[in-house]
Amino acid sequence: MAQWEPISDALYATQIHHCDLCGKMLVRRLWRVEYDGKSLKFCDERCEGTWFDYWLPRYGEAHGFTGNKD
Amino acid sequence: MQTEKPIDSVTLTIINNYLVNTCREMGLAMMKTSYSSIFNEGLDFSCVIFDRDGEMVAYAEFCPAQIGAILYTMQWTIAEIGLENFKPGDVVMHNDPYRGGCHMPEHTVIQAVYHNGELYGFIGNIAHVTEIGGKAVGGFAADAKEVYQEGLRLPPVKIIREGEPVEDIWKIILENHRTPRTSWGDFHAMLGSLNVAERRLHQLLDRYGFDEILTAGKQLMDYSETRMRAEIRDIPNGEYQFDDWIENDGVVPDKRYRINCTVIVRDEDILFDYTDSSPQARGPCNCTYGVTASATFNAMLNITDQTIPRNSGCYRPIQLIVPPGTVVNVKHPGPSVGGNSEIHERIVDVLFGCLSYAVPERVAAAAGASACNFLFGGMHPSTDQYYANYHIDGCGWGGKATGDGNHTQCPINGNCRNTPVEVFETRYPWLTKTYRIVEDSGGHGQHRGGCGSERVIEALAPEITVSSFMDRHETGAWGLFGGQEGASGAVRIRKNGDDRWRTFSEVYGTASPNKFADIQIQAGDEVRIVSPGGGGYGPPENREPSEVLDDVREGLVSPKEAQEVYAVTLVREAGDWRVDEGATADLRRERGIS
Repeated sequence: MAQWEPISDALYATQIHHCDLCGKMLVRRLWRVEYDGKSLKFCDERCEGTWFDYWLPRYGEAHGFTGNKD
Repeated sequence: MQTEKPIDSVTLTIINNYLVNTCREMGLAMMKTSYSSIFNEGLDFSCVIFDRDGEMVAYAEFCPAQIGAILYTMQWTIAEIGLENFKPGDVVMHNDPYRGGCHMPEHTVIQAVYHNGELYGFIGNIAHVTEIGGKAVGGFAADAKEVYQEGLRLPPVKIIREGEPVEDIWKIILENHRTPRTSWGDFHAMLGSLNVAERRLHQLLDRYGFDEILTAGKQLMDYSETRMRAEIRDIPNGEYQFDDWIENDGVVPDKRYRINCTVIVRDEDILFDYTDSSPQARGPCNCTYGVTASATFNAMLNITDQTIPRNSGCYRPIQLIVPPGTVVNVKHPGPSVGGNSEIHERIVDVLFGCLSYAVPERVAAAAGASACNFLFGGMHPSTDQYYANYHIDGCGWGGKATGDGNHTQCPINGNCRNTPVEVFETRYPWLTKTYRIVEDSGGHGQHRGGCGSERVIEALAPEITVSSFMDRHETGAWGLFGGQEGASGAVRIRKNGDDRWRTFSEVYGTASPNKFADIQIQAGDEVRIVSPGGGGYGPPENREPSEVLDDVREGLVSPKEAQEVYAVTLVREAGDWRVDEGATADLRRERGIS
């Protein structure tokens, strides 16, 4: 399942939302994708496509589904 | 309503030149009216024009470190504030590194331009403000562990509302800077450049018409995209990987951080994947997304045709994967001040390394890649006023297929000019005792790496607070295709009365010998900054003996290295050097060099 989702944070919520593929900041809205029990956020369908076609087969679960290294 | 009619190429060229020259004029206005030497001597800023869709239509070639950052700071700020919330005469400022900025000192200003009541687009600039508060004078806390130590962080806020300054915001900003008068002057130089651009845009729109100029912008971007795609088609399809290492982060001793990129070329598209880079560091060697994007675009613009108009169209075929939480895309609250100034050029080197497998004739060996960031400030003994300065030194650039690397030049990300010794000594309480090119510091090669420099300065004020963020002090810049490594750099101190140079770690116990902040030195103490040389390109023995002779005459290569590395024997006669043809031929035969 995938859909646009508005970003609406409280004034005190200072975190930045990043695309789970390209790492760009997400502003105002994000492209939410549910996959294999994970909730992923992307800039748009292009990043989602690259994630499925390139990133997932290459890195997959070894990287915890995103390159995010927290 | 935009016209569908294609604009002829002559008119398109005139409009493009007009827009680019407007951006250049913005920069000149900033140079001539600013207060700080990093503005008026260093030119550490960039100026842009965007259309109303948030696409960059023109850019002036000042500071490549900002070419990606300003693209995103503009687009994301417009999106965050909302197009509907911009009014004529509004100016927005921000320096948030997590919102596309390069690092905290870099401030962006953005203004919407309305022509006869209709929105044309946006004008803006991004510039390095010398002093922004925080724990270290000069806004460069090289041992910061979080963004809150790096200075005053501004989200996008209106500092001018419908033409009137928002005084409450100005008070907050200036109250938090150590040198508010300088900040005030530099900010007004930035605002003045917006006035220049607005005036020029109105003249252009009046002359050619609103729809024509909007259409021209779109066609210019399409043209740049077409040309960039053609350039990428010339790169062989394939997957190319390379990495390099940051020596330490200023906080954790002796821990290195990997910058890794896989470049994938598929016909006319190119992907840069940084997934295998190290997790973000505790200290401020992290890059923001804007820095990594800038470095990627910078590398691409360096290996492609220089005549492609610089606008958003250039970047359309380029896709980036820069995972957050890594050393190439810092997440809140990680610090990042050194990522822009020192690590950007290392990323460019990594990309040159990747592309050296595909287009060896277009790339350079690694550069010294250090801006030798040295910050200082305190109370000036002559004025009794607080002062601060961001000082940079050039390094050697890498040799390339077409020639030697440049000597002692600001790294590829900065394109900044150095501050002349006379200006430096007039403004700040230092005496310059040595400033010279370091012999044999360029990596030897058929095309030699550029040499680094040595600068020795003596403190004249009773006390000066200094900070440093430098790298390439342990390993030199790598060479390519048989070219040798460049010499590494150094920063040292000799306390008044001491008889030798020591690292700052030895004297002050800093975690890193080259990344430290807030060290108080006293009058008579000397600081020595040695910038790294660039790597060589191609085997040294392929260098023509006549070129080696020139190198020795100019003090770039020693006679000893000429003999040992280049197999060229020189003799000195009547105060000049000449090649000993016979001895050189014997030496080359002995070593099997044809």
